[in-house]
Amino acid sequence: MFDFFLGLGDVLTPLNLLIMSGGVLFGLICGALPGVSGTMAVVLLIPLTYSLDANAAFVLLVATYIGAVFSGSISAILFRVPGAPEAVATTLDGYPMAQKGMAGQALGWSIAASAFGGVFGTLFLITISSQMAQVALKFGSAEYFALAVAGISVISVMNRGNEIKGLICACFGLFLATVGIDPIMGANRFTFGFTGLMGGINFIPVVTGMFAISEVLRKIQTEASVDDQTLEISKKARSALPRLREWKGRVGLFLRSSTIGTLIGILPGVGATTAAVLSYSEGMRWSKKPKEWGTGIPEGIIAPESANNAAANGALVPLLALGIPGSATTAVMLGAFIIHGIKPGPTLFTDAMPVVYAIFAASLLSNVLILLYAPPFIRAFALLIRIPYKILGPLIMVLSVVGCYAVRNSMVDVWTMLACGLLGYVLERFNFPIVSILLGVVLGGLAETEFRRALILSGGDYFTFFERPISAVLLVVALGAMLLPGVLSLCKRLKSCRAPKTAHISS
Amino acid sequence: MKRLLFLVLAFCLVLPVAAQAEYPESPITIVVPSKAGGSTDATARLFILTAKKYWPGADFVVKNVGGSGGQKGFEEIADAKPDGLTIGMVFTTQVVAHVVSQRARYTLDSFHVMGNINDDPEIVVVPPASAIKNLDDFAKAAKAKSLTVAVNGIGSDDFVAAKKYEEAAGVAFNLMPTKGSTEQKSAIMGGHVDASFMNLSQMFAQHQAGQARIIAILTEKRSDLLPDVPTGKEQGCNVLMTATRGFVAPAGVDKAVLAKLDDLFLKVVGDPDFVAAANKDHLFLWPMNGPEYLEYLKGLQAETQRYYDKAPW
Repeated sequence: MFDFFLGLGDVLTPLNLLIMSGGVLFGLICGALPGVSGTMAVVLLIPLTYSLDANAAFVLLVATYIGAVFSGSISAILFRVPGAPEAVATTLDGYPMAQKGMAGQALGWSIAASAFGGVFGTLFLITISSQMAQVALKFGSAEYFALAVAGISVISVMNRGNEIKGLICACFGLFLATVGIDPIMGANRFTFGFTGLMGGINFIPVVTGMFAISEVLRKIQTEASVDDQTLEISKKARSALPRLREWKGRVGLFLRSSTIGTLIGILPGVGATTAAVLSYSEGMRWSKKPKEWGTGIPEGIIAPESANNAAANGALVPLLALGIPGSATTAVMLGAFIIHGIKPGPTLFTDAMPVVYAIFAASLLSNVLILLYAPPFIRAFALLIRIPYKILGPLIMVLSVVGCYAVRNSMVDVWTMLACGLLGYVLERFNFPIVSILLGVVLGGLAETEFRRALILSGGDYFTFFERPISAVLLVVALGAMLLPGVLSLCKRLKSCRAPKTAHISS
Repeated sequence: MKRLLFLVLAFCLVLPVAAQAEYPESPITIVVPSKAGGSTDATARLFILTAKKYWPGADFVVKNVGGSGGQKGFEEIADAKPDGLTIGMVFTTQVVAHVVSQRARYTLDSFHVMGNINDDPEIVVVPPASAIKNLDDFAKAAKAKSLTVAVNGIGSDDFVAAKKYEEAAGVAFNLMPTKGSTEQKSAIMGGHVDASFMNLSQMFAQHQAGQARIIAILTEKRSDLLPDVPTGKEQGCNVLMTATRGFVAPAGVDKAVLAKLDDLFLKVVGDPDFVAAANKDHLFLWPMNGPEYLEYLKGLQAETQRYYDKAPW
C-alpha cells in the first residue's frame, strides 16, 4: 500500500491528470451515445496512444473505459435506451423512476452507485488482485453454468402471481439466445439461410426494441399528455445526489452489489453486463419487498450500477495478473499493452510497476471524477428531453436504429430491433414481463455453452454439476428459488384446508 | 439567399465532375471479419497508417464484421460492389474451411487475392502443472486415455491442426471448442483441459511467466520470440500449421484499379516503418504477393478438404 502512494506521486503529473480528465469526458460522451460502447471508445483512442508514453496511455484508456461504463445509464434512465450494454439492467427501474418525475434522483443514485462500485472494485484490484485472479481460474464450465442458472432462476421471484407468463418470456429469451452458429458443433440453428443471423441474435437490438421502441409506440398513442409530462421530467432531470440519510438501509445493498460486481468482473469471460443483470436479480431475490422492483425504486438502480462499475474494475484483475481479458474492453486493452511493449501477467508487477500504478490511480481517480463531471454533463444532456415528444420520439427511434446498426455493422440487427419493438409492445399490453426475456437472452448463451462444455470435460457425466462445491451451492440456491413459491402456496392451501377443520374440532 | 442557391447549384454541377476523378475518388472500406481490437483488426489499422503515406489523398475506413468465424465478413467482401472501394482481410484456415464445409457462399474465385501480411504460428500448450513436457509425452498420454483439448471453434486453424495431429500421432482427442482465445487461456491456466492448440502471440507471455507451458511450435523454424521451444518437426512430428492474415479484393474489379491496389499492398508490406511497428506489435510478418498467397490458400483448401472428407464436421 505504501509503495502505491509513492507510485501515485510519479503518475499524477499535471499532464496525466489532464489526460485523465479528457478520458473521463470522452468516455462519458461515448457511453451516452447509443451504439458507441466503452469498447469502441477505447478502440478509437488506441492510435492516439502510440505517441504517448505508457503511463499516460493507460491513464487515458482506463479513464475512458470507466467514464463510458457510467454514462450508458443516462439514456437508459431518461429514454429507456441503454447507451451501452452495461446499462441494460438500469432501464428496469431507472426509467420508471424518471417517469414518476424523479429523473434527478434516479440519475443521482446512478452516479453515487457508479462511483461507489468503481472505488470498491479498484480497492479490490489494488489490494488482492493476484490472489483473486488465481481463485477465479478455478471457475470452470460447471460453475459458469450454475451461475447463469442462478441468475435465470430469479424469474420466479420477479413474477410472483404471474409465473406462467414469466416462464414463457424467459423461455422465449433462452430461445433467442440459441439462434446462430451452435457454439460446440458449429451447426447453423434457426438461421433460415440468412448469413446475418449466423452470428446469433445480439441482446442489444432485442433490449432496445423491447424497451425503447415499444415505449415510443406506447407513448405516441397517449400523445396529448406526453409533452407536458416530458417537460415535467426534464425540469427535474438535474441530478440530485442522494442525501446522507437516504443512504440509510441501503449501504448493505451497495456493498453486496459491488461485491457481486467485482467477483463477476474478475471471472475471465463474463463482463460488466452480466454482472449488472445478475446483481439486479440477486438484489431482488434478497430484497424484503421484491414486488417493488421494476416500479422505479432506487434499489433497482443501485444494484446494477454499482455492480457494473465494480465489474469494470474487476475485469482489470485477470488482465493485469494473468494476461486474460475479463471483458471485451479489456481484450482491446491487452492489444494496447503489447503495442507499448508491456507483457501483462505476473511479471507485470515486477517489470512494469509504474504502469500498474498508473492504472490503479486512473481507475481510482476516474471514479471520483465521475462524481464531479457527471452532474453538469447530465444537465446538458437533459436539455434534449425538453424537445417536444413528437420530435423526441422519432429521435429516439433514429438513435436506436443507429445504435443497433453500430453494434456489429449489421442491418439484421436493425430488423431484429424493429421486430422486437412490435413484439415488446404487444407483450407489455398483455402483461407479459419482458424483463424475463432480457434475463434469458443475456444469460442463455452462457448457460448453454458452459453446460455442454462441462459435459465434454466430464465425459458426459451429469453429476459433475453437483460434485463441484461452487456449482452445487449455486444450483441448490437456484432450485430453491424456483420451487419456493410453489411450496409456499402449497403450504398456504394446506393450511387453509386444515384451518376450518381444527376450528371445528376445538369448538 | 439567391447567392446561396446559386452556390448550391454550382456545387451540384461540379460534383459529377469530381466523381469522375481518379481512383480512389471516395474512402476505401476495409472489411475486417473480426471484432475491433483483435490481431486482424490491429493488422488492418496498421496497414492504413502506412498506406496513407503512399496515398496521401485517400481515406480508409475499417468496417468490423465479426462473428461466425469470419464467414459474415468474407461474404461481405465477396458480395461487395467491384469498384475497388471495398477491400478486406481474410484469415486462415477459416476462409477455406467454410468453403470446404459447404457453409460459405463464396469460393476462392470470388476474390482477387492481394497478398499475405503476417502469420501467427500454431503451438501446443499444456497447463503449467502438467506431467506432459514434450510431444512424446503428449502422444503417450493421449494413447493412454482420451485427452481433453481446447480449440478455438470448428474449422479454425487450431481445429485443423488438432485433426492433423490426431492423424499423425494415431490418437483421438476429446475436442472442446471455445469462443476465442480468452477461454482457451483460462482453460489452460486453470487446468480445466489437458492441452490446447493455440497461436503463439496468444500464449507466449504466459509461457514466459511460467503459467502455461508451450511444448511445441508447429512451424518449420523456431520462433525468435521463444528460441528454447522446439518445433514439432524436431520432435519427430510432421504437423505444420499457422494462421495467416492477408488482403483480398472482390473479383471483377477493373484491372487498372487492381494493379494500383496490388502496388500499394507491396509498398506497405515493404515499408520499414510498417515492419518496425508490426514487430513491436508481435505481428509476425510473412509477406507474400498475390499469386503466392493464392497458391498457399489453394493448397490449404485441398489439405483441409482431405481432413473434412475423412471426418466431416
